Formats: sequence, structure tokens, C-alpha cells
Amino acid sequence: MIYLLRKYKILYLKVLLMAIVFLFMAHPTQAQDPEYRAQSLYIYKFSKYIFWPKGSLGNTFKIGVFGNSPIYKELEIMASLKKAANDIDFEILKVDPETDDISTCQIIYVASSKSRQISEITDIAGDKPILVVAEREGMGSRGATISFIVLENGVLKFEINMDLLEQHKLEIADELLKLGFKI
Amino acid sequence: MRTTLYLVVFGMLVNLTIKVLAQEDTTKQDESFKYLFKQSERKKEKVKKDTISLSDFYDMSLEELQDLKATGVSSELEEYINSLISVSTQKSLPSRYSPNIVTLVTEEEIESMGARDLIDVLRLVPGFHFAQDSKGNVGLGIRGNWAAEGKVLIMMNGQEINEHYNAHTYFGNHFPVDMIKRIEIIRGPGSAIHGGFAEFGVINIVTKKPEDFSGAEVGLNQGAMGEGVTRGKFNMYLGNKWKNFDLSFFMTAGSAQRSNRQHYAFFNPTIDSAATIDSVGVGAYKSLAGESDLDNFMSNFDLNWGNFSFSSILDYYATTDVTTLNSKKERPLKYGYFSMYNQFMYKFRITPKLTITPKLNFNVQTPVEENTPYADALLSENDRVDTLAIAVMRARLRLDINYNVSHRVNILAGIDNFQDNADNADTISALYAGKPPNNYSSTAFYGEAIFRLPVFHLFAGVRYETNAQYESAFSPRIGITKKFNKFHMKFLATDAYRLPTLGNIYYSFDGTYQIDTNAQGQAYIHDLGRGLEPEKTLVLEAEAGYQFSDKTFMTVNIFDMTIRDPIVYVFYQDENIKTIYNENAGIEVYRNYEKSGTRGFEIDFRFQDKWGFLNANYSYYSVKNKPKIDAYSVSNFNRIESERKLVNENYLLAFPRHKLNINWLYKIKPNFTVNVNSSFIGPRYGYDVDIFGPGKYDVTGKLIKRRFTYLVNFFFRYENLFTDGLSAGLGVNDVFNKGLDYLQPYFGLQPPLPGPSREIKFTLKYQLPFNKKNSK
Repeated sequence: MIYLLRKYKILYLKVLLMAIVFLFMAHPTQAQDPEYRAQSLYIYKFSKYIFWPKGSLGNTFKIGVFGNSPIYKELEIMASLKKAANDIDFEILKVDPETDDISTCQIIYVASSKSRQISEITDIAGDKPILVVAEREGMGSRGATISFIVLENGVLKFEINMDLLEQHKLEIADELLKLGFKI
Repeated sequence: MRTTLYLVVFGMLVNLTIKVLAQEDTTKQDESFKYLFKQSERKKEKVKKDTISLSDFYDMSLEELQDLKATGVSSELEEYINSLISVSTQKSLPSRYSPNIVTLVTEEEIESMGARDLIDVLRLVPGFHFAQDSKGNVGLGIRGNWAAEGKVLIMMNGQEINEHYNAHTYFGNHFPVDMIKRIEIIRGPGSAIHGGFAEFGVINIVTKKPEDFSGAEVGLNQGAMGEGVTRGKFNMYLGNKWKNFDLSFFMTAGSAQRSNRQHYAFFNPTIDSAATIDSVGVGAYKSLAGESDLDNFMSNFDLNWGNFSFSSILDYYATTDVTTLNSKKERPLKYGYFSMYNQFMYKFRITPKLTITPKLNFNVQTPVEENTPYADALLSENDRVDTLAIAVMRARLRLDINYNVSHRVNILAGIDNFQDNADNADTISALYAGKPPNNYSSTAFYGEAIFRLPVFHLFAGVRYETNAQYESAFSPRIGITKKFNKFHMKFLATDAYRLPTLGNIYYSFDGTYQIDTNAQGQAYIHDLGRGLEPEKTLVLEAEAGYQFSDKTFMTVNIFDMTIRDPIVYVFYQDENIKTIYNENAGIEVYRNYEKSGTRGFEIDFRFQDKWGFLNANYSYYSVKNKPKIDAYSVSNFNRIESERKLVNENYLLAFPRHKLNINWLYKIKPNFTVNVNSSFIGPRYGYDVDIFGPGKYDVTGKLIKRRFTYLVNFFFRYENLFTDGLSAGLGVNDVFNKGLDYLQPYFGLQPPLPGPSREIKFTLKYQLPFNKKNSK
């Protein structure tokens, strides 16, 4: 009796062990990076449906990326295919507020990894016509004019701080505004 | 010389072979080159195409951006884990965000396993296990706790379908498994919206609707245990959708046997003759084949017209009382449960942000009927034309006000009032003092808010319940969920509250009674006191989940449940009863106990690919350092509760501490699948009869331990067989004929109820879409 009990216990433990090993061994795949193409599409639309004051645009439409982010590559692809308003070329830059002059950029994208240093950007941006776009949601209260937000159903949206938009002397088309959430 | 010749010939052959191979290699290289070239050409074309499509992508209109997903195309698994769960909160959310521990069962899983009934499906849910209630019925246990006594909310398309007189909901050839689109399961208390039965869990059965399939469907589900057909079920569906109007109807009808194995039942010769127990003895073993009917008819008519909807569900479920034998050693008693549920609902959209939804429910149930002695009693007393023994009607009005304050805040406020009226002709009432209430009403005010904070989602809910019978109760609920990239976590706390039902009160016992002597000088007990308090359950849960890849997902959760004043249906005997009547005498009553509960964890793993899926889950509960009650504890057999001694403090009756489920589907062809699912069930404890001698009364009870066992089932299914829309399946349940039985989870004097033995099953289904273009 005791032998049988032991036998079944061992069998049971073996099954459990095999199952656990299987669970962890079967799929050692790595997590994927989030998709940035959708964000680059939105940034392209920002360049079209947000209006910069006259004279603030140079020969190129500069988009600065603060922080190491895959969005940089996506924006480069976008820049190779598309032009900004008034048929001017895009110029995609990796920027660091400590070393680069970011005041010539029209859009500055703050990667999630640099969210804590957003003030370095917003301090320099001041009330200049610069659109600060944050990858991380909820950055509207910390100086980002626009921050992306992924809804529970996976749809990408954005929050827009209208006061900051005005402060930066920017205007947004109503049809684009309908896609976002005013804060 | 011969050797030299052989060597020369061998050398020539080798040379020739090398040349041929070399030529072949060259050809292969050429082909490979061509292939690579083609590939390269294709790649170039692809890049060109991609470039073109990418350019189109950036030209997407703003309107199209409305539903732009943050990530790319979802895999099947991602679609699964991002499916919206409607049962958890007022606003449908994907399971990773919802403030509950959630399991979603899909139509594909149910069909591919050839499920015979809901037991087959729910058995694979982490923490779920079935056990035996009175009269040989089978109910659900969750996380080691007996939940069948009104502690789990069952809904069909969002409409409550619990039996609400005794609050028992039974399984086994009951619910329409062939009509299910998906089942949303909360393994834990439901939201403040539900209240009541949503104490340990919520099961929302979502059936097919015209939006899923517009057309007609007929199906057959048959099975054979041992010799002959032991299960046959027919089902049909009709549904169509017009502009803003849709109609659907389904019905399912059939009969099955619980088992064909031997079962010990107790004699009650007074059912069919004037014979006394002395002439037949205590009980006997007899096969359940042909004497364990599970008959069911269920239908649902559903209408949606704009914001208005109406749903009517009919449910007739009759089971043989397998625990009772008449003087001829037959099982003649049959209990029927008839229910009709109607719901009218209208959604007023006051503004895009504000909706007000009144819901009116009118339900009629007859929880006991047919050929029971109680049915006759009602028939003669009230001169009814039918044979209802208990009839209960519930009218319920709910009003939900939902305000979407912003994309970050959603608020729901509501009021829920129900009124129950019941007739009960059970002669047991004569034993009690005073009259039980035959109507009952309760009003609840509830609110729930969802805050989508930048760091996490916060859910806060409250339910305030008030009624004339009991003190008002306040049930809070709080949840925090967080998802970042592939990882998510949840922290949940709920204090659920459940009122006793009319049936609970009717059969309740507060431990008081009177003893008198009759004219013959015999002592007797009378004027039993009724009394029952509401029960409350505090559940703390935490879950972490990680999506390893687009094919692999895993969650781990821990829980801690404490039930205060649990309402338990249990056999009661004390020294007075034993002395006045006999050693076996007692009553089955509802009583409050002090505290009970479990804690444990569950692991759920899912892998899904084009070839099929592999789901595995493991669940564990412990009662260590948790309060225990005698009714659920693993103790030696003694009818007097105070004299029982705890035998194993780590288990509760009937439920295994360890359970592993594996569900595997392989698509041999896209339309030809094989499913293998299995449950590995750890040891369990229960009670059985102990026949200690040849005499009629040489029977007592004993504690038993069921050792580790397993169930393995397989099923082949072929879609579009011979013609479009026709599918057929064939499989075997319990391949190794282990015959898992159902133990009683409380002290109720019933020996283990045998479950089905090995069964060959067969399904056939034909679907005819009304409009082929719009069909699924």
C-alpha cells in the first residue's frame, strides 16, 4: 500500500516537474519591441495638421528625437517617403539638449527612457514654436504638448495640452483634434 | 587478377558516380542560384511593394486613424488575450486590464474538445472542480471552496440564471454547450455591479448571436458508456440580422446518464409502499445505468432593435434522485427544475458621454417538482392544476447610469431592487416554529469608477445593500491593474456580501428546538428555530502575467479567501435527536458557521500557433492558517459535529489541493483537428458507507481518501465534411476509464457519486448561412 502510494506520488511529481520544465523550456522567445510605425504616422500627421507660425520654419522640417528609440528609424523611413507641409523635406535628428541646439526643431520627440528629463527639453522650448511629443502617456502635465496613449483595446491615441499648444503659438486643425483627448 | 579487375571496375564506378554527383551538384547549384536570384527579384519586388504600401500607409486619412492600432497585426494569441471581457466591469476591457482574474473559453476550444456538457469545459478552468450536492446533483467548487450554494453567479448573455430559491445551480447535461460562442469566467468575486451570488466567481455564457452567425444550424451530440447510447442531445439555432434589428432563437433538448457504475443508495420504502425501513434495511449498491437521468430542455429567444433588447430563456432540468431507493430497489424520484427568465432592456443615450439603462427582469422558477411527495402535498393543499412543490417569482428592476467623464474616468451608478415571492408546500415546515417568510425584497445602491491613471488603472466600487430582514451591508471593492509592454499585474481586494435566499431561510436552523412528549409517552422534537445571517467573503488577489512572444502567454496569481458566517447546507444531529429518534436521525439544514476559507495560487499558460494551441494550468489551495469549519473539514465520520476529530488539516472535503489541466489542439489540416485534454487530479477526501457486517443495519460511514487520478479525453473533428457547413466529430472521454467520482464537500452522509465512465462521443453539426457573403 505504502509502496503504491509512493509510486503514484513519484509519478505525480514527475508529471508536475515535466509540465513545469515544459512550460519554461518550450518558448524562450524574446519580447518584441513595441511598434513605432503608428507613432511615426501620427507625427507625420502632426506636421500636416498642426500649424507653425509664419517664419518659424526653415528649409527643412526638423524632428528631433531625444533618447535612444526605434522611432528614429521609422521617422527616417517616413522622411524618405514624405514631405512636410509646403513641400519641404523632413530632417530627422538625434538630439541631446545638453549638447545640441534644439530650438531649431519643429517637433521634439521624447522617448520613454528620457521621460524624467523632459524638463531639460521644455525649459529650452519655453514658448518657442516647438511641439514636444512624449512617447509616455500622462506627460501632458509635465510639459509635453502631446503625449501618446494606447487605449485598452490597443488603439493609439494622443492627449493634447491646449494651453501648452497656445503657449508655443501652435494651432491644430479640428479634424486632427477630434482624434485626440484634450487635457 | 580478379581483385585488380574488381578494383578497376569499382574505381570506374566511383569515378562515374562522382561525376554524376558533381553534375547533379552543378545543376543543383544552378537551380539554387536561380532560386536565389528569383528570391532576390522577389525581394526587390517585395521591397518595392512594401515601399509603395508604406507610402500609402502615411497617406491614411484622419478618419482611418480612428482605429489605428499601436502595434502591428495581432497574432491569434494576442487577439485572444486582448478580447474584451464584458462581465468584469461596466466598460468592456481586455483581460489584462480588467480588475479580476479572468479566463476566457472560446467556441473553438469547446467545439474542438467535443464537450458533452459544461462540466467538460469548466473542469479545465484553473481552480474549478466539481463535487456532489444533495440528491446526487453536481455543483461547482472554486479554489477549494464549495460554491454551488449560491456562491457563484451564472449568467447567460449577461442575464442571471441562478436558481434563486435554494441558490443551488447544478451541472451535468444542463447548459447548452453546443450553442456557446464564448464563456467569460471570473475566478474570484465579481464586481460591485453584480453583488449577490458573485461571491467566489462569475460564469457568463455568451451564446451565438446573429452578429456571429446569420443562418440556421442543427446539431446532434451523442455518447455511449458501456453498452448502448447513454446520451443524446439535439440542438438548433436560427438567427438573422437586419439593419438595426436582429432576432435569434436556439433550443437544445436531450437526455444523458450521470454514470453506469455502481452506487450505494439509501432505502426509503415509504415512497411506493407501506413497507418500513425494517423490511429493507439501510441501503444497497445498484448500477446507475438507466437510473441516473439528466434531462434538459433549454431555449433562448433574443431580440435587439436599436437600443432596445428583449431576451427570454427557458430552462428545464430534471435529475433522478440517485441517492434514494424504493422498496423494489428502484430509483423512482425525479426532481425537476423549471425556470423562465425574461429581460427587457433599453439603453437611453442622453449624450455621447451619458447613458441610462433600465433593465427589468421577471423570472419564474419551480426548483422542485415532478413526482416527489412534496409535489403531491402542494397539489392537494392549494388545489393547483400542476404539480409544483415550490414556486418562486422574482421581479427585478435595475437602473444603470454610466457617465464617461473623460477618456480617463468612467463612472457607473446604479440601483438594483428585487422582490421574491414563493410558495413552498414542503411538509418539513411543520417541524419549525413560526412561519417562514414567503416574500422578500432587497435594494442595492452601487457605484463603480474606473480611473485610467498614467501609472496604472484604478477601479473602485461599492455596493450598499438594504432590506427589511437584515442589517444594511456595505461591500467595497478596489483594484489596481497595470500593463507595460508585455507584462501586466493586478492587485485586487473585494468584500462580497450575499443575502440568504428564501429557501435558505425556509430550511435554516439556529440550533434551538423544543422537546415534548406525545400522548403515547414518546418524546419528540418540535418548534425548530429558524435563523440565518448573510455571509461575507473577503478576497485578496494578485496576478502577474507576461507575454513571452506573440504565441506564448502566462499568468500567475495568488489568492486569499475568507468567508465570514458562511451559509452551509449540512446534516445536523445532536445527542437529543440521537436519543429520542435513532442513531441515524437528523435533519439537513442551512446553518451559519463562523469562518472558512482558502489561499493558494494558479498558473495559466497558453501557447497558440497556426498548428493549434497548447494550454496548461495548475492550481493549488491550502487551508493552513485559515479558519476551518466542521462541515467542510476532513474529520473522522461522526454524525454529531462536536464529536468529530480533525484528520487532515491541509485539505477540505471533496476538493484536490493540486490540479493540473492540459488542453492540446493540433490542426492536422485547417479543417481537421485533434484535441487531447487531460486533468491530473491530486488526492481528495470524502465520506463513504462502511458496511461492517451482514446485518441490515450493519452500515455506518467512514472517511475515505481518493488517491491521485487523471482523466484523458481525445476528440477528432472534421469541418466541411462532404459539403460546406457540415462538421462531424468523434472521440473518447476518460480513455483510461478512471471514472472520476464526485465527493461530497460537506458533511452530508452521501457516498461518492460515480462520474461517467469511458464514453465514446459523436457530434454532428450543419450550418446553413442565410447570406454566404456575410456568414463567418
